[in-house]
Amino acid sequence: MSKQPRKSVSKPPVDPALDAEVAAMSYEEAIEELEAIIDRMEKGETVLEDSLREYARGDALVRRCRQVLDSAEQRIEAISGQQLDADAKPAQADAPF
Amino acid sequence: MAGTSSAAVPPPITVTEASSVIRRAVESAGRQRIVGEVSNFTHREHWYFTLKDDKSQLECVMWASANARSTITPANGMQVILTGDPTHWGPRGRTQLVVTRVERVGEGSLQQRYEELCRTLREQGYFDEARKCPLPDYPRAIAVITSATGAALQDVLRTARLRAPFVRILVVDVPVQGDAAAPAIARAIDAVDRRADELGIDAMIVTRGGGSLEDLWAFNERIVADAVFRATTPVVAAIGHESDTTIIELVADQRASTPTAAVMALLPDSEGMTQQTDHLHDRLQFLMRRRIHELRRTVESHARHTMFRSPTAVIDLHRAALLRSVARLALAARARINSTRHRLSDARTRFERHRPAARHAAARERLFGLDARLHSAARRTIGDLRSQLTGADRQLRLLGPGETLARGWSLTFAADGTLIRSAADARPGQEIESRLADGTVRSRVISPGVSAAPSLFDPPAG
Repeated sequence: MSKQPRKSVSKPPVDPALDAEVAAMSYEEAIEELEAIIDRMEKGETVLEDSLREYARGDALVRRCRQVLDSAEQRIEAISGQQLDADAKPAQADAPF
Repeated sequence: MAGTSSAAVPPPITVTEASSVIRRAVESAGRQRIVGEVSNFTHREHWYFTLKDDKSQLECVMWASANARSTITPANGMQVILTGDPTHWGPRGRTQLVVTRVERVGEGSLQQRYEELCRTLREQGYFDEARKCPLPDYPRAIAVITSATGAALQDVLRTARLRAPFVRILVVDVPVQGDAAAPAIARAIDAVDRRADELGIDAMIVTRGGGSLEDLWAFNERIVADAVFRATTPVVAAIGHESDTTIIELVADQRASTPTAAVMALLPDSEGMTQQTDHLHDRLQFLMRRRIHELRRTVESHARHTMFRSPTAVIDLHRAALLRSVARLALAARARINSTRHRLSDARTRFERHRPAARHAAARERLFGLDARLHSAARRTIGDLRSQLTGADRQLRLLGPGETLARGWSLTFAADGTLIRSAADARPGQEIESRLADGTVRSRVISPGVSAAPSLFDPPAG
């Protein structure tokens, strides 16, 4: 008979499915949903269980936003106007302009 | 003195000679550029026409060798700029301009063409603010349509790296000056717009560094203006220096003074975004903490309720309420029963009174009543007597002869069983029987005698 480990309540548990879903979002989508969650929480109409779930989602959205902002390497692709018009794929610009 | 010096007067010259003098004078003026309106145009092998303004006119000829190279054929009323050499032709006595080049006014001047296109496009609503789309707040990727070798691209990339390194940039290389520039730029704008979804592009920048009006001319062409006008993807244009305003900048959704300014207008500031994210994160945590605090306070205030402090309190409360209810129910029920009974008995009474056998029934009822009373009385009487009897028996036992005899007294009976109470009752020779506590003694009377005041404790006379 072993004792159950005590669970921390300060930080919501990281849900891999939630993280994967949020990782596909653009900064704009993430920030918009985050603002919507905060709006709902400010109104205080949600029951505790919903609040906790929304908080966990909000936390994941914050992490997504920070992840976007932290990607420091700019991705630059290049293509000529003619190639673009011919539906060619742009290539990663390996040499800086 | 009226004398004339024939030597001082030059000899007259011929007309032909004079004509040569005039021709030399006219031709010494050299090549001219003259603006005016075309009239009397005759289209033969050589072109003959008159150029005029409101005060003067000038005969013009453009030889077949020259007019074959001209891109413009003059027409009456056309405003043109002629380049040519003035001359004087003796055989007809005409001073005229031998034209080498014809330019059309308004096409010849880039400034005029610019102004004319501006007017047309404004009338057609190309510059209306209402049709311009807002720039995205957070573009995922942007296209930069410019020369890959230009300084403008360097400015764009440097600014983008500082401001928002997380935004993907697609560089679309196009010529930005020369005859090929305008069609290439227009095609690139169309291609970016058409493939925007596929490439994830949310906006485009069309840019070029500074130059002369001729250098920037591609960005004033109608074909480019049309491409920008068609595009549903937002377009930011930054062409030349701040003082230059090209047509593409007027049609674009946003105009920027420099390539750097275009990036600033289009890309969000990562510092601001970081602050916004931090702020929202703080707000989220604050709200969650507040929510939990509120809920905890509610729970605690409920927990302080009497109900939870005394486990039986709530039961007591309910019990008291229940008892009150039962009492009220009982009262109500009794009242109802009583009133019903009352009404019933009233009704019965009234009914009985009207029945033929009422009297009989009443009598019977009375009789039943009496009978009951009798029974009860009898029962009571028997009970009473029985208890009296018990009491009497106890008294009787106390007062009876048993105890008296035990104390040494005796009872004396005659032969017939009668109790001899007085000495006078005894006659000599009479057989008597004395009863004592533990038995009887039979004896014969010797001599009776009555004492005056016999003391109970005196020994008997024997």
